[in-house]
Amino acid sequence: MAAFNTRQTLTMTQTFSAHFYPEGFADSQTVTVLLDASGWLSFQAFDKKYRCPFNQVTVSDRLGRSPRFLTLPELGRLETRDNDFVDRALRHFGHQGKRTLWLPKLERAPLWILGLLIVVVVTGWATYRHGIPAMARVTAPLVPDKIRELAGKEALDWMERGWLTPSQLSEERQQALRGAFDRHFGDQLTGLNVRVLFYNSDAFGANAFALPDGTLVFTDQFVALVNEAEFLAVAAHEVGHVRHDHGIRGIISSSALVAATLLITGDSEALSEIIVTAPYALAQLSYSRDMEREADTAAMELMQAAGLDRQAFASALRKMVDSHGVSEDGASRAWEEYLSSHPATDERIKRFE
Amino acid sequence: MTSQSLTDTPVTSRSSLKPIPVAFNGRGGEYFGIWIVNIALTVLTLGIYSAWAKVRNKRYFYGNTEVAGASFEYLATGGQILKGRLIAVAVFVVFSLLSSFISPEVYGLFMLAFMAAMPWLINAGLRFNARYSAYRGVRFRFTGTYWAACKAFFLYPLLGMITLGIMMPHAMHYAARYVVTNHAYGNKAFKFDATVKQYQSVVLGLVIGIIASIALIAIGFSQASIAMIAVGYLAIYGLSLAFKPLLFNVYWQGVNLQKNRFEANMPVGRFIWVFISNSIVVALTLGLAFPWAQVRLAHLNANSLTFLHAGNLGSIAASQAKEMSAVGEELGEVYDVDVGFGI
Repeated sequence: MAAFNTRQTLTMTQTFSAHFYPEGFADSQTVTVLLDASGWLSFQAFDKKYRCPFNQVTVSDRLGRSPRFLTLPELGRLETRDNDFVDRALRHFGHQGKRTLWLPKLERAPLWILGLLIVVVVTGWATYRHGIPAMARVTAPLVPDKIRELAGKEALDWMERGWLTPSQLSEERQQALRGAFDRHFGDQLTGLNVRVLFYNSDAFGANAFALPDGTLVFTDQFVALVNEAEFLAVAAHEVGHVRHDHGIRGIISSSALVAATLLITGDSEALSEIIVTAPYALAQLSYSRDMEREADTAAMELMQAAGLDRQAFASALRKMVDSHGVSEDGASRAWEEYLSSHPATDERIKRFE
Repeated sequence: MTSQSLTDTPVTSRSSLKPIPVAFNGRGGEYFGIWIVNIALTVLTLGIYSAWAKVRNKRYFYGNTEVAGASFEYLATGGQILKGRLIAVAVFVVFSLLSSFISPEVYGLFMLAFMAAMPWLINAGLRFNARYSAYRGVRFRFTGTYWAACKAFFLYPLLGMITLGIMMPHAMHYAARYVVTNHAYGNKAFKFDATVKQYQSVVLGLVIGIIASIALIAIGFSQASIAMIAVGYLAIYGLSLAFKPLLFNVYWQGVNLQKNRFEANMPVGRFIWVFISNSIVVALTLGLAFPWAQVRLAHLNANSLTFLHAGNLGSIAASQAKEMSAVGEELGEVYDVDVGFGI
């Protein structure tokens, strides 16, 4: 094994131990390699003498304690774990492999690792918190309306298959609600392709949601629960989602999040082996909470412009909480999911009081 | 490190095979440094370094995997990966943009063309990876054909589904055999002698286990016993995880090369424990424990394998190989087409 100091010049002959693999065959022999002061490697294997100038050898980069591979042109390869010796030799002989020596040094320096960890965490947080939402806000207007239509239709088809059944509300009641909606918000919906639909849904219970194409869905259970003012307040919130293009922005930001994570961890194979869905899910939820807040703000503006009392939104929220909290069937689970994607309800109610 | 005398004469009977444990020498803390530097440089170079990061990650796991005293080498360069990645991303972006402007009929044609390219993508990934993987200075090779890949990854699995799973063990066996026997080390092709029967017994065992669990859940519901229901659900989850180690063992015991082979015994319980605890720790640390989890899994994989050395590796000659591009491999990665050699 090598035993000379970094500073010391290679005046005497040095040796290191390695496996030798001759060119062209999967044969192997343990050898002691000599590196002499004039920069020649020499060793004996398979009853033959091998010699090669060190500067013609290609040396693989250092990587933790894993072995280094030295490619001797036309002769074969040496595999050695004597990483320190190889590094010193690279430096001493001015071998071109010394240019990348800073990288493995970085990878082993605790202070650098800590510093870079902070860089990664801070940029990661900033990208996730501000970068991706900002990117989604900028790119969403570039998405053609055709995609919105498609996404909205897909989502509605999917829900109609499992959770929504035709509304039991009378035609007059539906017309009355649509009429009120148009009267109050009609002049503020220019450019938005908003339509109001009613469905019966035991699974969702009292609920309302906006689809990417501007379709607003209200459940019969919701209509039964609230008065007209409250209906309009929640409708204003849903219009807020449409106005801010939350459907498309949500799709963009969640796919950007996945793409960024894949690029950074760089190994889809390992990623699929170990579930990392929990942080994802949390991240998506926080995007969704931000969008709910934005929709709430939009609702306030819309209601103000339409001359509506914003207290109605607070009382609608309260009624929805009560209705979902009491029921013991599947609806209560749907409500839990709904809750987690929305900001704390108390906080939201306060904003409107 | 022990040195092996590898110029000894070939042996033929199985009893004279020399068992050598496969070792993984990586450490979580050490890999963390490499991993975090990779990520930091990737972020600072706006993603460009990710190609070199991929190479360093791969080299770390290859270089620390030791079989009979020699380690594995990953020989692709960052430049190669970057070129392939750029072309692959360009194709992906053009394809995604086109898909929103063209009519559904043309889009359908596009999708068909993409489906038709899938076997080619899988092969390209396997070919590239084998070409740039070496052991004792000799490279691997992959020689699978388009049509065989079609059968292995699409037609037979489809047949398995149509027959409600009865043909599934055949499909799994065919896919494993396709991957193994089309790999070569130097000038010698790998052989695969796992039988369909082995796959059938793995699948049958799991099916029986799942039926029993469902029965337990049903009984739990009828007796309103939450404990029974919970145990039933946990059992189904555990059984789905048990699939991987059971297949791992069948697969690796079937792989052989010139009478060299592997003993594989990954303990099912241990795998489930490592998988679940890894997932929890990675989730709790928001991904920071990922390197540790990966190293832990690599240890489990290596510790489950014993190489049975026939003493004739030295006679295997390298074969000529041309340089190749990483476009296929990276395209496959962009579209998440991934078939590992080790399942």
